Amino acid sequence: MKRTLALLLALLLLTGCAPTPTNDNAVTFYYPRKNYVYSFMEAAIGSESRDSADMDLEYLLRLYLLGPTEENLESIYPIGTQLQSLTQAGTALTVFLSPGSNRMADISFTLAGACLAKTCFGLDDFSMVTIRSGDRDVSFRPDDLIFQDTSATLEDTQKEENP
Amino acid sequence: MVLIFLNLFCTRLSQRLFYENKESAMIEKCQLASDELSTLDVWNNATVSGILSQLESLRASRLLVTDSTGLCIYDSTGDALNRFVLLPEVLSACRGNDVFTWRYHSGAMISRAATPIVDFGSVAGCVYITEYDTAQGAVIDLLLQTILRVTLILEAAVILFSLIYNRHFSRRMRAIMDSMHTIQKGNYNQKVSVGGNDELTLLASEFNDLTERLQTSEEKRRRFVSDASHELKTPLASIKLLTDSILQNDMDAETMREFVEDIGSEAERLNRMTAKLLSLTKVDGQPLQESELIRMAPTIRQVAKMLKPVAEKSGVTLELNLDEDSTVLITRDDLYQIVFNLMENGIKYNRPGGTVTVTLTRGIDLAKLTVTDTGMGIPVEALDHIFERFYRVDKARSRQTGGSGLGLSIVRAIVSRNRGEIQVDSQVGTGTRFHVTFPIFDTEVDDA
Repeated sequence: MKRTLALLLALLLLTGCAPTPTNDNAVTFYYPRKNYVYSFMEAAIGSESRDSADMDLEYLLRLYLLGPTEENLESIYPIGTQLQSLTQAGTALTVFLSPGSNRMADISFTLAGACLAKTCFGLDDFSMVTIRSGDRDVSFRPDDLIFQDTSATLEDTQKEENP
Repeated sequence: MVLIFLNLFCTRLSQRLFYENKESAMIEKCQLASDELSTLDVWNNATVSGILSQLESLRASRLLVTDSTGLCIYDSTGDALNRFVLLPEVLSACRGNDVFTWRYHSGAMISRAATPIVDFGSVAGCVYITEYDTAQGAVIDLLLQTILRVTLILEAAVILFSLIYNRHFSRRMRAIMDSMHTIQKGNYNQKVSVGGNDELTLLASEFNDLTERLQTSEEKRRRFVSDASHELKTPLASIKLLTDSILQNDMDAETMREFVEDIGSEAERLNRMTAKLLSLTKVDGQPLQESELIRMAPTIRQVAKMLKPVAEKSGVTLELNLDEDSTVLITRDDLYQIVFNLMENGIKYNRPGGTVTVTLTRGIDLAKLTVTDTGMGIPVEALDHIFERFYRVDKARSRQTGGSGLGLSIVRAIVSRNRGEIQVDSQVGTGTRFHVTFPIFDTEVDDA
């Protein structure tokens, strides 16, 4: 009886500790947080998972531009912004959007582009993503984006290492 | 709960003070840099570095300058140069806001501030600074620890005080409860001594007063029962003796008649005594009947008229000297009883040919009734006892005159319950004088 009980408990324990199954077809879409309330540890952007189902890049980017499904995220591109075309030169991707983005403030255009570029970096091994809308464009490399200031954390770590 | 609230309040207050100080200092620094940078015609790392190097007061852990797109033009750490800095503070500053955020962590205060660089009315970029301040962090840490220590000490003191006070209070309460149990068993000598100067002491004092009153009352009751039994036993013993004598001895009709008359006399005394005891019980036990404003003189005259045959039989002259306007608040029956008992005593204990003088005078606030006899007087040592029940100065004579030893007790009880006072002075061989006073009421009264 005791042995059965122990086996049952071990089975339950192993089941509880098992890693969450992952969806290999899932892609991550990044968007600015909606009604963002400042948090020291949380960046101004968030993400949600979408089932790609082996769709091509253009389809995924059109899907992206439709906006997020989660309520705490939002797309800051103007309503009606559409994907016009995509060009790829080697590992450099250029995304052409409809010219409605012209009306956006510089920083908003950068933030929206950064979210789109970060999404693209996760979809393929791009070395650079350029977002172009009308006569505006902005280019990003994977290491160009800083969403959190970790300098204080680094100092904290250094202090602990060298008191 | 209060201490926790106080602790939280102090913590929040101290943090708020630090916050406000730090905010204004860092925003000022950012604005200083923004103002200087807004004068630049060309924006690049070299020109920005040149301007910032001249600003010695801009001491910060990190200083970062971006253009309006968030692209970093200058970073004191060098990490973010030519990268897009999309920190929440930078995003907000590039939209035209001044931003300050801070966090206290592990003994350090990490503060961040950002302000827009405004050039000809539009945002051209932002200045972002970070300070990693262990000195202020240590002050906050020390403050928090001090508040925590004070709170803990106060908590401990409150708990200790509560325990000690609770123990002390319980002990005193137990003393009172023990005394109550002892008194429940009939020991009225029990006294509570709890010490201190608080409500419990007051309660103990009241309790002791109550016990004393109970003890006095119990003693009076015992003495009364004992005295009443003794006094009732005497005429009953006489009746038994007389009846035994009649039954056991051959006697002529004349002697038997004499014995039967004595039996009747003893029975009459027993009757009077019982009636007076009942009267006394009524005075003690019944609530005061509704008083009325009455003139004293007519009632006194009525009593004198009633006692005149008794006085004449004893050879005593009654003299009245009465003020007609003395009006008091009393029941007519009570006044009658007072005057009757005092005048009857004056006649009973007088000498043949003596006088009983009743005087009624009116003072400013009081009506004073004085009954003076010319009897044998009362010894000084007996004066303190004459109002006690069944007390007789001359027992033999009292019985001979039919006294019960209750008359003056009744008088004092009635006088007291009618807001009056009674006093006596006497001189052996000369006579006795009783003074009864009542508050006077100046109101028109219809003589009934």
